[in-house]
Order: sequence, then structure tokens, then C-alpha cells
Amino acid sequence: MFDTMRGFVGELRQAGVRVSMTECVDAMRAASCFPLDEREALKAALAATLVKDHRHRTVYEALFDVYFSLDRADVLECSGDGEPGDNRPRTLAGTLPSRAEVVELLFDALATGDRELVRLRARQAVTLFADFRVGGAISSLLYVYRTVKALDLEQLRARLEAADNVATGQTSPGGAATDVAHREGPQPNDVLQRRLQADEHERRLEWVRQEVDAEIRRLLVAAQGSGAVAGRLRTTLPEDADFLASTAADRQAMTDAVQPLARSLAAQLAIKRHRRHGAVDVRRTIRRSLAYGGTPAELIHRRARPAKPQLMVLADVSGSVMMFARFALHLLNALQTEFTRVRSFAFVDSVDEISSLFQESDGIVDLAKRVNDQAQVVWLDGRSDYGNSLETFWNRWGAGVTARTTVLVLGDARNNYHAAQSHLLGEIHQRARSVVWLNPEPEESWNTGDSLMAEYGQHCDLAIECRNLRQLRQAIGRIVE
Amino acid sequence: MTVHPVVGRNAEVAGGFDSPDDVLQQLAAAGYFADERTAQTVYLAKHLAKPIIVEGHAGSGKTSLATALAAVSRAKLLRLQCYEGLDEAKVLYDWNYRKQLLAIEHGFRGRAPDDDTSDGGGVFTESFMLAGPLLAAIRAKSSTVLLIDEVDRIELQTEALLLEVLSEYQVSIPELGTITATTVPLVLLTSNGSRLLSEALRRRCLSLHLDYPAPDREQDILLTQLPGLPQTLADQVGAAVARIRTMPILSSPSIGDTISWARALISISADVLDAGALEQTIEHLLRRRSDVETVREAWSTFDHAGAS
Repeated sequence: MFDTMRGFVGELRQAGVRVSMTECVDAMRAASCFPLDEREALKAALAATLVKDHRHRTVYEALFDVYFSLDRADVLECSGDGEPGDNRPRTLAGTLPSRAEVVELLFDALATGDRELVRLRARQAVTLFADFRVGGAISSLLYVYRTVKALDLEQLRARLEAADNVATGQTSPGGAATDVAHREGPQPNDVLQRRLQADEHERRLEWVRQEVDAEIRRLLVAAQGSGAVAGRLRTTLPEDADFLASTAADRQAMTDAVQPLARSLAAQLAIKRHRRHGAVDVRRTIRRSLAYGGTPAELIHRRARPAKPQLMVLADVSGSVMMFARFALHLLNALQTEFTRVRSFAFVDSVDEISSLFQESDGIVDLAKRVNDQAQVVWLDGRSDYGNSLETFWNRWGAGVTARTTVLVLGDARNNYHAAQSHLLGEIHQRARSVVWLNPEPEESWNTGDSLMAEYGQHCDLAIECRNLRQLRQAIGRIVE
Repeated sequence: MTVHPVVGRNAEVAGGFDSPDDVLQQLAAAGYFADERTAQTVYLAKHLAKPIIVEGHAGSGKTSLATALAAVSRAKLLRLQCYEGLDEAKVLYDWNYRKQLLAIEHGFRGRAPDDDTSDGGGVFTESFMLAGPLLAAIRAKSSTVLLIDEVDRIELQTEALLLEVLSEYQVSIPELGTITATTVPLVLLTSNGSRLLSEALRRRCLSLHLDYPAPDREQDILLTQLPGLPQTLADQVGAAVARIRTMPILSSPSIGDTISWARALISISADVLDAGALEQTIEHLLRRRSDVETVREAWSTFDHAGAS
């Protein structure tokens, strides 16, 4: 157990989850509260003690399955000569079932909606179809593919649908219901109900995929050991996912993470400028002292009036950084709600202020549409031109930059070989409190091709690589120093 | 007063549960339908004497978990509602200045000037203290459930005030020494995730993320809250809400929204959830117009697909 835990925690740390020493100790203590054979309880215990951020949960669960999925019985069953005794389904005659029978059994399990039964059938299906061999393919993909293909999920879906229609008194999805059934029973033809049914089927079929996946991973672990499987499984945490190449799920995680980040940026800027009290207010202190017979028992302070920081954000929203642009809009949106005095600008080859759009728009999709429709961010060809954007910005809004303004530029500095006009950024830098550039590209590819990061960078207080949430968090830390 | 060694570690938290299943049953009896993970975490918190950070969407039942736990273990519920600007005096304790002043004044008149109340030493005793919820939870003789609500609203610095209480179940007061808990309270902290909680705080707590309840658990909630609800309708409402929560909408419906939607469905006396009933009542579930549009759109595309 101890060794398994050590390997498991090591893998978690490898994946980027921070696990402290005390948390390990807690995890061991927590694990000892439950009997060892209760996997779900163990899973919950370790999750409660080790995973303090629910966004890490997916990574945790995958690794947990690798390290703790083997109970002893399973090991005996899967090792050996590939003759898993009880696990192989038997029909009444005692012979191995044909593939048709397993599919039939799986269908029954799905129709009743019994997850345990689905798990059992999925396991049997894997033994039959996956053709798993110790020393065979090392990746699970092939085996999953074989099994799922043999099960033919689409066929199962169609049958589930047909079965439900029969149950609710309809002959077939396309056919007409009998009049009686139509009038008396619940109306199965209703769009919404059919939609709900379809969703339910999808959910159950998803079980099959999950169970097949889990079973194959289990077999792989038995054959190769946890470390090897975990090594290949290595997944990225949402905060390490690259802005420029992120999946929909990553983006959802990013969206969730941006708001707290903006708040902590606001909070940290507030701390910098915030003193707890102003000077002692003598007049009010004396007045209050009358209540204590002239003893100044309570000091009254003047209310501190912190100077509000101003933030001007220029975000590149061109196609080349589309993913980043979407994220930049999220960040802007979050900043806008946290800071009262944020002015947001979007640019492609020209720049326009979009601060007011944030109030009007309802959600980020709507916002993106409004930026496209209403803001004058495109001048000529819709390819980013930092030079012209800077020029427009300087001419129209340059006067708004003051010694209290922090200017934040979000973009890849790829200028499509237009004139750089970097002296304008220099002018801005002269006037502003600080200029910070966040670049979504890896630092190695700065200044390659049409990237002018060095030229712009000389006029920035900070030019930071900002490819993922982790780096963004660090960047925010550095902006407030 | 002496400084006590750590007591929380080995002391059993008051109010007992035999097993996670026991937690589940007792909570269900109190009208809170928890899932297994919640029950297991609560059970652990009791056994390891550790606080739980409960996170999750608004309206997923974070605060009601604490109230239900208090009801189940017949403990007193002490609640600290966090807000920006919350300070030590309100969290832990404060000295009652006016009472102290009165006592000193009284001392001058009634006793000799060299009496020890006159030099101020005597006015720093527990009777001159205004205990905040945290101190009250520590000093309580009977079992308590301490709910620190929306802990993400306080500033990062204020968080540090909680640490001593959360890890050692004690409060150090310079004038008095250390006050250690006799019965370890069950502590729940809730957070809406508007700010990242500090590592120090997270390390000291168990974490629990409350998802929206699974469709069948939501049905149970509906059926207990609304006895007049037909079973089939509850089924369908549960499934529909679960589906809506997976759609790309801005504010997901909370459990409370589901209940008010079901209530609306009852009031139009619908026996079954169909497109017509949905159309009439959807505003009770979703507050934003754009969300209503999203749902409508998602379900009407199916209409075309189904018709073709």
C-alpha cells in the first residue's frame, strides 16, 4: 500500500498537481478509515485529501484507476495463460457465448439501466473482442477500438430507441402511433420527450465506452505495471493547456479559471495601494472622546482614499491568435467586472475601444459578435498590423494614458511584415506607469519570421511568455510585483 | 493560563457516524440527499477531525449541507458569513471597551487605587470579551457545527486568521493564553470559487466539490419538497434539468430553480413534460433570456431531425 501510494503521489506531482507532505500523511490516515476493498471509498478518501482543486479531478481519476484498480482477484485472473476462468461469460450449456449473445446481454443491461450489469457485460465483451495479449500492443487505443467496433454502439442505440417506443405504445420511430395509445398514454411523439430519451440513451452508451476503457486499462496495468501505464497516460492539467492549441474542454476550464485570476489581480493591486487607515482625524477623535469623559479612548482615522489604478488593455483579436483572442476576451471581460477603470481595446490592423460593449453584451459569444460587427478593428485586409494599430491608438486615445496607467498588450507581435512603428510604444511607455506584453507564443519562436517581439519588447517593462493559465497566473504575480 | 498541546488530532469529533452509509441515511432523514462522495468526505472529516472546504456552483446545496449536518448531529450551528473587510474583531474576539472602562471607573471609586483592577490587568478576562463565531465554536461545551460561509469573499490576508482555528482548534489570545477546544467542532467552509484560496488553507482542509445532484437524486429532492408532484413528471424534470445543465448556458439552474420550475408545472396541472408545458414554464427555470433561447434552439433542432 505504501509503495503504491508513493508511486501514485509521484505521478500526481509529475502531472503538476501540488501535493504536500502533510497531505500525503492525511491521505494515508484517510485511507485507513475505510476497508481496503471498498474502492469507491478509497477514491473519495484520497480525492478529499490530495486533490484540492476540482479541475484536477479528471487527471486524478485516470491515475487512480491505474494505481488502484487491481484487486488481488483480478490480478490472478488476468495474468497466467490468458484463460480467465470466471470472468468469461458462460451460457447455460457452459460453453463460451458467441459475440451475438454478449451483445444481447449488454443490450439487456443497457435497457434496464443497471450500471453494475453494464460493467460486467463490458468486461466480458473486452475478453471476447479485444484480443488482448500480454506483450501485444502497448497502447489501449487498439483494444478499445476493436471492442467498441464489435459491439456496434450505433446498432445498440437504434435498438434502445425502438424498445422505448414500443414501451410507450409507438410502433416505430417513423411509424404512426395507434390512436388509442396516442390519446391515452403520455404523448411519446412529443419532441421534447424524444429528445430526453435520446439523451438518456447516449448517457448509457457512454457507460459502455467508459467501462470498456477502464477494463482495458486494468488489463494493461496487470500486464505492464502501474508506472509504465501512468507514464503513457500522462495528461495535462487544464492550467497547462496551451492557449493556441486547446480543446473545447480546456477552454471551458480556462473560462472558469479566468474570473478568479482577474479578481486576484484586482486584489493584489488593491493591496499594493491600500493602507489600512488614513491619518488620525483629530476633530472626530475629540468628539468621540466626550463619550468617555474626555479620554480619547478610540482613535478615529480618516478614510483612506486609495488612488485607483488604471488599466488599458490592448488585445490582438486576429485570426492567427484566434484561440488566444477568445481567451483574451474572457480575460478582458473578467477584468472589466473587477476594475472600475479598465479600458479595453481590440485590434487587428486597426484599433477600437470596446469597453462599452461589455455592458451591453450577454455572454462571451455575443461579445465576440459585437466586436466583429460594431468595433472598427479591421482597416484593410484583416491581418494583424501592430504598427497601424499603435498609431491609431496613440492618435485617438494616447492622451488618456497617464502616469497611473498600466498598459497591457496581449498578442503574438506577428506584424505580417508591416511597419513596426515601435517608437510609438516607446512614447506610450514614457507616459504610462508601465507597459506589459503578454505573448501567447513560446519564447523560442519570438523574433522568428514576422515576429517583432524584440523590437516591441525594448519598450516594455515586462514581456512575458503566456501560453497557459499557469503562466498567466505567474504573469499576474509579476505585474503587481 | 498554559499553552496546551495539540488536542484536535486525537479527539473524536462530537456527534458520531458509524459509516458513510450511516451519514447518507441520517442526512436523508433530515431531508438532505447527499451523494456517496459527500457522505464519505463528511465521515472522514469526523474521523480525522479536519475541516471541509465545500466548493461548487451556486445553489448546489453547500450551505444546506451544513445546516443538515447540524440538525442530524443535534449540534448548534455557528455561522460566520464572510464579506470583504471582515476583520479579527468580528472573526475571533474583541475586548468590550466600554465595559472595561466602566469597570476601571467603578474600581477607582469603590476600591483603593492600588487594587489590581485599576491597573488594567483585571479587565482582560473572559467576562470582558466579545467572542466571535470562531471563538464561540472553540469554547462551546456541547457539539457544534461551524459554518464559514463564502470564505472566498475575505481577503487573502484575513484567511490567515482562520488557520490556527482550523488546524489546531485553538485560539491564542495574547492577554489570556491559548483557548483549546474541548469538543472539536465540525467545520465547513464554503466557497464559490470567485478567488483561489491559499495553499495554506487548502492544505489544512479536506476538499469536497459538490456537483449538481444526479437526476434520480434530484427527483428525490423534488418529491420530498413537493408532495403533490407526480412521479413521472419528477422523472422527466430531473432528466431535463440534467440535460439543460450540460448546454452552453450562462447561468445553470440551481436546485432551487428546479423546484420552482416543478412548482410551476404543477400549477399549470401538467401531468407530463411536453413541448407545450416547457414553453409555458421555462422562465421559472432559467432567468436569462439568452439561456431560454439556447435551450429552445437546442431542442427545436431535434424537432427537425426527428421530423425528417
